[in-house]
Amino acid sequence: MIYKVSYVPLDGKNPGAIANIEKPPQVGEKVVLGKVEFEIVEVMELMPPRGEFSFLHATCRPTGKELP
Amino acid sequence: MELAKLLRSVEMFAGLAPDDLQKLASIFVERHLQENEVIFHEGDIAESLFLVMSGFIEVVKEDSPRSEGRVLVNLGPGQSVGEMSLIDHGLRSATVRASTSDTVIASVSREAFDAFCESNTLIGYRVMRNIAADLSFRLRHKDLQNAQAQSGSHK
Repeated sequence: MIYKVSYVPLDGKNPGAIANIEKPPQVGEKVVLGKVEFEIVEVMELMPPRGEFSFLHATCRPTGKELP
Repeated sequence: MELAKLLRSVEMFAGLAPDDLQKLASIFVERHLQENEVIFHEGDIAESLFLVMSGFIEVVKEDSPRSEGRVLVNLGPGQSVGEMSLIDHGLRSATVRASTSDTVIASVSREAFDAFCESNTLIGYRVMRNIAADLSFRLRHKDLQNAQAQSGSHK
């Protein structure tokens, strides 16, 4: 299964990201989108799965860390 | 990641047979980008479609010539960009650039992409349906993003 994830930050300021990943996102997991690190706080299905694709939405909050 | 394997994970090409994915891989060209390297500018004539193989790219709306622009979304592995202009033949609606130094993209020309889609009715149908589904996903993402921004502004 390929997980296409819509990442939307809680602060409403960061634009978030869309990316394909090989394992489903988990609450509490840390993920780097672009250069900014986020912690996932909620995961839900955005659309029903189709073929090999699962479509998920993950709400996340910035941890305060950024890549150099 | 090998290009044919990457293409299998791109929603735009979902449902295509392995032989078709191999043919598709042969018309793509890989390119490694530096951080902030521009792939195309808002207003450019559209010549190609791009896929993100690794790293992230950012889609930027330029508010004025002197501003750095407003990042609309970051797109990571498996995402496509540039398909809107290929379909509607409009100018590029935003600037797209690499946001990380490890970004690798693959590009295909409009002519080669059209020829591939037109080579077989089923292929053309599936690719266009998948593009529509991808645009729908991005609209849903944008709706959620706007809802979050409004929710944050009321606190």
